[in-house]
Order: sequence, then C-alpha cells, then structure tokens
Amino acid sequence: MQDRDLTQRIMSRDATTSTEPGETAEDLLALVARGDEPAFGRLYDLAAGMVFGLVRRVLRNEAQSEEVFQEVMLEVWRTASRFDPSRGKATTWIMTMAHRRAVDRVRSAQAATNRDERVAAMTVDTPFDEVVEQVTDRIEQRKVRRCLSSLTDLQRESVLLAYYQGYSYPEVSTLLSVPLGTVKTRMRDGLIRLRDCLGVTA
Amino acid sequence: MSVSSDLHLLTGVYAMNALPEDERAEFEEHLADCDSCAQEVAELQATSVGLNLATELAPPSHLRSQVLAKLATTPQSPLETTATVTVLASRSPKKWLMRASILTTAAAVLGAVVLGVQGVQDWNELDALRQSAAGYSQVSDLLNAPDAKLVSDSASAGGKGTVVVSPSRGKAVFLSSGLPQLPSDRTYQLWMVGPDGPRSAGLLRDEPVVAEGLADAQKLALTIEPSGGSSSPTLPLVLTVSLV
Ligand SMILES: [Zn+2]
Repeated sequence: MQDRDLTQRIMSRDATTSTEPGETAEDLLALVARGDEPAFGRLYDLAAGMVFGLVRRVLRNEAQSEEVFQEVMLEVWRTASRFDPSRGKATTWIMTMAHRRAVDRVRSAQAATNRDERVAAMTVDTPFDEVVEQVTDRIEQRKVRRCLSSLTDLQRESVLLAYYQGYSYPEVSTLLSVPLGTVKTRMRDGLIRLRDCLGVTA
Repeated sequence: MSVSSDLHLLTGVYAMNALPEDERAEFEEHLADCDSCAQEVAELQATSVGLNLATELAPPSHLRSQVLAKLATTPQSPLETTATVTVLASRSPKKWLMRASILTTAAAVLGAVVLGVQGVQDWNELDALRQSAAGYSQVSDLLNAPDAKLVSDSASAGGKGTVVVSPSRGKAVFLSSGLPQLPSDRTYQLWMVGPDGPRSAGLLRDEPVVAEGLADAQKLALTIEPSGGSSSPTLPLVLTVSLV
C-alpha cells in the first residue's frame, strides 16, 4: 500500500512540479533561449534541487554554494541558446555546467586558502547534512556504489577525487603519487567502465 | 600524430572538469573537430552526472526570487551562435541524427538506472529503489519546512532511529542505523502512535520510510513483525521516537 503510493509519487514526480503537462527540460530550455522568463521559472523549479545538491556536495560550504548556484542558474539563462539537443539531455548540460562552476570555485578558493582548511571544513557538518548524506549513501549503495566497486582502486580514487572534490588531474596525480599519463587514462577507463555498468552504452 | 592520440585520451578528464584551464581550451578546440571524442564526452558527461542524480537538495527558497529578479538585466547569447553553426556544418547531418537517437536512448537508460529499472533482479528491489528515491526527495523537501526538526532515539537491543519531522506538513522521514539483523521471515515495521492508537507507516524493508498524515501522532514506534507486516503492532516496541 505504502509502496504503491510512493511508487506512484515517484512516477508522477515530473508532473507535480510546476512544469506544464508533458513539458521537458529540453522544451523549457528552448523557450528560455528566446527570453521566456516564466519558462525559466519553471526550469528553475525543475533543476534547482539537482544543481544545488551537486554544487553543495562539491563545495561543502553553504555561502559559497548559494553564490555558485545563482551563477549557474544565470548562466543557464545566458547561454540557453547554446544548448544542442543532438548532443545530449538538457539536465546533463545543466549539471555539467554546474559541476564546472563548482570546480572552478574550488580551484580559485584554493588559491586563496589552503587545501587543508577546506578538508577540515568538510568534517563540520550539521546533523541535517548527515541525514541527507546517509540517505544518499543508501541510494548510491544500491547501484552506483555497486558499479563504483567494479573499478580498480586507482580508477575509483581518481574519479571520486576529481568529481566530488574538484581536484584537477595534475593534483590527483600528486595526491595519489602516480604519473600524469596514468591518471588521464585511469579516469577515462574508470568512467567508461561506469558507463557500461550503469548501462549508458551507445 | 602522437599529440592528437594523446588528446583522444582526455575525454574522461574533460568530462569530469579535471583539466587545468589551458589544457581545457586546447581540448575544446580538438572536440569541435573530433566526432568520436564528442560522442565519448557526451556519454561520459552523462555518466558523471548519473553518479550524482541522487543528491538533490533544495536551495534556500529566497534565492528563487533573487535569481529571477536578475533576468531582466542579464543579457542572453543570441540564438544560433556562429560557433554552433560551424560545428554542425562540419559534420554530416545523418551522423548527427544517429548520434542524437543514441544519446537520447543512453540518457533514458541512465535515468532508469538510477531509479533502479535497469539490471534490477526482482520487483522488490525495484520498489525499494523507487521508495529510496522518493524518500530522498522528501527529506530534502522536509528539511525546507520552517518547523522541521531532527529527533532520534536508541533501541534497547542496539541501533538507533533518526527522524526528520515537520508537524506543519504532517510528515516524517524515518531512518535507522545499526539495528540487529532479523531472520528472513521477520521485518521491522514502523507505526505512528497517537491518541486513537497505532497506524502503520510502512515496513523498514527499505529506507527511509516516509510517514505521512501524522495528524496527532505523538511518536513513531518500531516493532518486529512477520515479513509481510501486521495490521497492529506486536509488542515489545523495539524503539520509539517522540515527535513532540
Ligand atoms: Zn579525439
């Protein structure tokens, strides 16, 4: 009973946001590219949670996350016309942009403060964050973690350091004490293996 | 030649935004001319994003009006930039059409994977994954309720229950940790306990459990029941968490 309700809710989740029936992120981006502000509002409602979740996860700092989040949403507005639907999903485009902005912020913040402080800050989390992490962990454990565990240690470490902590590949090379060329190929091999495990095959 | 074969290897690093700025610019130039890299990057970007689909977190609500207020003074790139036209013109339209359908399929499959459709052994697991995903978005939603609070209590036999509750929304999300493992014919069941007696909030087969319609429930209680669950709780209570 409970399961059925929840299943229905997740299945109908897209329909219960403020998008109009059948409206996809791709549709909305096309409208936004023409300067449609109400469409941007609906796209915001669709994407804000995903974008903020990712930015917050990479930056781990609430104030910086809020700034970068706003930058990302405005970048979506500014550059919507450059989205090319033949290259992939709108959400992938938005999330890739969000990740890039977050990573850029990590690197510029890194120039100002040292990395150790950032690492120390990571451990200061509120209880709410812990709950969120726990829930996230549970979901990831199911499939994504299973796929991550199929990688070699080096592949997994490289992917996780780069994706979740925003390290560049030369930094990963230093951190893991492996040659630059090795990091390049391990990141690629690792992602390809994940792509295949998660079923993103062409 | 060796330089360009090196560049082909950068798809993964690029997809994770792990290239330093100068190399990023160089690779983007290569990307505009290399079909195989463009396709691989698109797939690997979708893969990276897929690693993260579960971590939705609602931003503070006041940011929405702040962002929308800036639209009027934020100029947009014109539709059909020259860059896009050049890139498209350099490729055969047929190839692009094919790639578009491949990517759409790939993206759909990836979306399905995270909700647990692909590669799932049985329908129970599928339901579990759906419930987790639904529960997750409800947690982030609940955290934004002005009266949301976090309460937890320990179980006598070991383990702990943690609850995010919002009385104004009549909703709570329950998460356990470290509870003793049960035999396969038993399950933990969660109850909303109020003046009118206990009502089932669901089985702990998969978490988090979302308890809805709390109404005047004073606490959540956990019991051990036969694997299908019971219509009324079997004592003793494993754990109670007070909501008030
Ligand atoms: Zn190439």
